[in-house]
Amino acid sequence: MTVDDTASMRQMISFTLNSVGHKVVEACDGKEALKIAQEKKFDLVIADINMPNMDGITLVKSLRDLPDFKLIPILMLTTESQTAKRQEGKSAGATGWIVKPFNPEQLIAIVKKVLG
Amino acid sequence: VGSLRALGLFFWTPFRGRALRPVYYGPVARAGGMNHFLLPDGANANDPTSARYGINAMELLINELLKLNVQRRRIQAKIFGAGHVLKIRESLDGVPQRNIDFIRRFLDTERIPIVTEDLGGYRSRRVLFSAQSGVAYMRYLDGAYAARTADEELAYLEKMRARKLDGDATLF
Repeated sequence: MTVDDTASMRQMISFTLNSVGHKVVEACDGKEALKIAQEKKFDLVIADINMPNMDGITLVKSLRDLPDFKLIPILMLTTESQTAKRQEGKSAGATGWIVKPFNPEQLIAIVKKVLG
Repeated sequence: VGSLRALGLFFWTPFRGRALRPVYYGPVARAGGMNHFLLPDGANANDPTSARYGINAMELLINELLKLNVQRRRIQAKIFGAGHVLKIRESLDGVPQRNIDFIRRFLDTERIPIVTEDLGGYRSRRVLFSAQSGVAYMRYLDGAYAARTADEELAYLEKMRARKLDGDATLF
């Protein structure tokens, strides 16, 4: 599942991951993602930080409370690059931190790595 | 590839040159920002990742507006620029046209309405924008000033082509 309030960003992420055979479900903010997460299981979540309704940090914390999302990789994909923000993401339970703009090959490599 | 300005109160930003300048303005929160960007190699409609630097520049601006309590659905855009002013060969799918295609596609995808636009042509433009009132002022530049601007933009375009702008990645 990819979570981003910028539709163009969701399109890029889906396009990149579709190209290597992954199926991607899109959500436009943390609130929508959490709703989808109640009904579906995922192998990986890629989430933005700055979003209306529910931000990425709150989303990670909430997802980690759900049994199906305790152990799966959750990557933050964000324009934020400050150490303090990264630390906040790590404490919330994120698996990794990718700073935008992302390089498509790099994203594919990281996804491959965290999916083992 | 762009500069970013987002301020809550009264603000004027003079920009010169050729690249596109989308100006965002939230009419209720009365906050605005101006983004000046240039995609040296344009964007390919069949590969959305080719426009990632443009999308990133736009997202940075939108994020700053959200931090100023602008509601996303209230954001409007005014876009100026993309004139053919550089001394490079003109073609139907040249840099200015690809920049125009990119910003139209982006704003359409993000459902941000364009309230004013002045695009294309052969002249340089100067744009002033008041983030408090949301009013944008534009005038065309001619003569020696326009030529100097074109030289600066060409140097900038070559510099941008050589730069690697992708962000880094860390696994915790």
